[in-house]
Amino acid sequence: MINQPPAHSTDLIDWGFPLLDRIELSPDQIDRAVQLSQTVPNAIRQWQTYLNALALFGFQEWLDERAPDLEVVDTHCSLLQPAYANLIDAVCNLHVGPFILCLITAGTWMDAIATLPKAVIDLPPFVPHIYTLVRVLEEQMQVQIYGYLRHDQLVEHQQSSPLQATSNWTYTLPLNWFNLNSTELLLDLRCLQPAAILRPTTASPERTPIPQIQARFTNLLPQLRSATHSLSQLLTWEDGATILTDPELANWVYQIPVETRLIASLPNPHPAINVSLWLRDRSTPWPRNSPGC
Amino acid sequence: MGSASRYWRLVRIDAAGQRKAEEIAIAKAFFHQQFADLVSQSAAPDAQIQKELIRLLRDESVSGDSNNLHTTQPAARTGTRSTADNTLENRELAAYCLRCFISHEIEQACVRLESTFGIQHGFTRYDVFPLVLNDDGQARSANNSSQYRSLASEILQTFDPDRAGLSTWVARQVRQHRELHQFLLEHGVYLASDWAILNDTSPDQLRRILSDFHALTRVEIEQDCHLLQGYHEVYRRDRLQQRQAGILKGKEECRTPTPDQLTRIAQSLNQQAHLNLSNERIMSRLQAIATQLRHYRIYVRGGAFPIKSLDDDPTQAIAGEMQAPEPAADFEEQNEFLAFYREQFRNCLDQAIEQVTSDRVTYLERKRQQGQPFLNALHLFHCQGRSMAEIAAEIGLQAQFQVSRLIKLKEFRADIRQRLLNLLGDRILDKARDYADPSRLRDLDQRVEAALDEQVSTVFHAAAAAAAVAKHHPLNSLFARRLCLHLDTRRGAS
Repeated sequence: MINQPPAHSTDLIDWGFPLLDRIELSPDQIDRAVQLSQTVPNAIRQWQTYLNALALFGFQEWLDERAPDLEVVDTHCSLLQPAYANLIDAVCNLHVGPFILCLITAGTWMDAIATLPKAVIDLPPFVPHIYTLVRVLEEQMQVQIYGYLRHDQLVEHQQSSPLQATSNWTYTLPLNWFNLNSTELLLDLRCLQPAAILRPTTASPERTPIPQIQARFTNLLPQLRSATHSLSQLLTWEDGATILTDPELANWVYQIPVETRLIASLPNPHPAINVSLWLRDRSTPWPRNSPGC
Repeated sequence: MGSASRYWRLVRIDAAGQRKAEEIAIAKAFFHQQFADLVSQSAAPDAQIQKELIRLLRDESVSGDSNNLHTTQPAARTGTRSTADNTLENRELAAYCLRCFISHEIEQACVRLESTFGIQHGFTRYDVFPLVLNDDGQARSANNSSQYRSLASEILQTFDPDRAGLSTWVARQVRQHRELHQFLLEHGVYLASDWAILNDTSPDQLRRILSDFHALTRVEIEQDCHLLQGYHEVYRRDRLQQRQAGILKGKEECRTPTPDQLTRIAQSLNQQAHLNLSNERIMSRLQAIATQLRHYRIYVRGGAFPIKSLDDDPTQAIAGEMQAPEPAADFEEQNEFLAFYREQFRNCLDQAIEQVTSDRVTYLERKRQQGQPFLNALHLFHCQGRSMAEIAAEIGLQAQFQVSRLIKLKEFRADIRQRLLNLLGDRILDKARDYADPSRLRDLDQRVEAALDEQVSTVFHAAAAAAAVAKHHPLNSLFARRLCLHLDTRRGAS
């Protein structure tokens, strides 16, 4: 606990940074980030998607400058698939060299806690080799590679401090689990053998039977459409896990037309669909596709 | 907190740009008259003084027109005409005292900026003074708006002694000053605005942070979180829309919320959290939250600003090379495998140097047409032992930080080292054993770093080391030597 700060605190330099190790974003990258943000219907998710996009482009720019010897493949990453950008507040499935990365974005970590979506820890299709924290200074259009955590290190930490889930489908991790030296991240990416980091591939989370989810969604449609609540407030984690690991479900959630309270400058890009009809048509079991990620 | 003389000595700059502290006689007399008992105290009670001065300044018992000597209502003290005269003069004098105090605070802010960023970023307090220390020292009526508007007068207009001390208010206004912000940006320093800070912080983070301030109740904290959420809903949406519409491009300062935005925030709060707040209340609460976030940041830093850029000054790290030669025998023991494969190690090193240098030149050329300056700077540093300041002058940059940013020495060396490790793994070392365990890999990285820093000549006197720094001798490590060879090859080839 700290006292109310002195009334005469005069430290001017409380939120200033020298700009030496920041990555500058170009107007082009900013434009693309804005465009990407428009692919998700919910206004609140739009800002997060925008920041995640800035983080992704900044991260790629950083690799461009420091390590053009590393191959980057972003074609399968969650940010570029609107249904998943809509559901997960992170950039999953980014391939750098032999490793799979997940980028977590924020404007600040000054309270020394990193918040990660539950999906990137519990659901194998979304679990990376390396979690990377990327700080986005949106006002200045700069990005900082803040820190990273290998999956093997996460597992080790969890053995002594098991993670507690929050009510909104996230885990909070102590920032000191992360290595804040981005040069060491490059060392691992360039030189470490992939076998050094094991990713879970077979864990099967508890899932809700599809008919149950369908029923729940029918009841919740008004709330889903008004976007006043996040999914985590309306559904259980088992429901959420089911949606995330079933591409058809994920797409269906994405298609739910969202009403906007404030006047939008763009026409709604998502045509209204007759949801109850759609649900009826889908009463037979859905085909199993390969995981979307 | 300080002596009372701050209330009658005005700090300003004259026409020649010189800093002066003038004693304003009438302000001094006025202060002695109003605060006779406080003058002798070594630490003047600022809050009390400022409250009283503000009260005198804003005394409404006389109308604003300086020519109108009639009172519209009985004055608080007496109703005589001479008192009306005194009250008007009192306002002017109270303003004078406050302006003096403000000038000291503004000067302090400039001094702090200089001490934190000045050397690396190439500016002094004198560069900053003209932007903010612009009170001309003339006596004037506090209310006449057609006259010269200094930063001090802006500060006086908006200051509310019930909300914060004047020092805090001055610091806030200086920090938000647009021209200063611009100046700092041009010199590579970014001070985030309140509205950016609010944008960057999530309600969950705010809740955790505010819970550390024990003077706040749970209800207040929840209210603040709702408020932040409402702010995000409106402000972020607008900002994104403006970017989309092309109204905002690139770096754009987060401006103060408009009345329309405040109204919409109020609406959202009403709908979402059943809170009824006026626009003014919303604005002042948001500013208070931003201030609390700033305080928290200072608190977690232990009060000191971490001057990361100076700590990481590569020139210091590399100068250290020259003072610590490793005796040849120890080195051999530590790095026996490297010693055994010495020639191959050197070949891999040369290759890594060539790869990374080429990649950097390509990138810098493509981004900012700075390929050649980069090479020149590298050469000047490693092969001629020049300082950052000298290099800046030679390659046409204005400040050290620009050179640091151009060559990023630590990163350059790290990248060469890592690519060297890759090559060694392919050719010499047992990848399966040494590269499959993160801690072994780090250990290897450190040993390679030691090898690169090895002094090529083991006979290296302390005197020579000192002389080399002064007299522009090349750096003497293995790394520097091979790099200089490569740079010479490039020059010869081009």
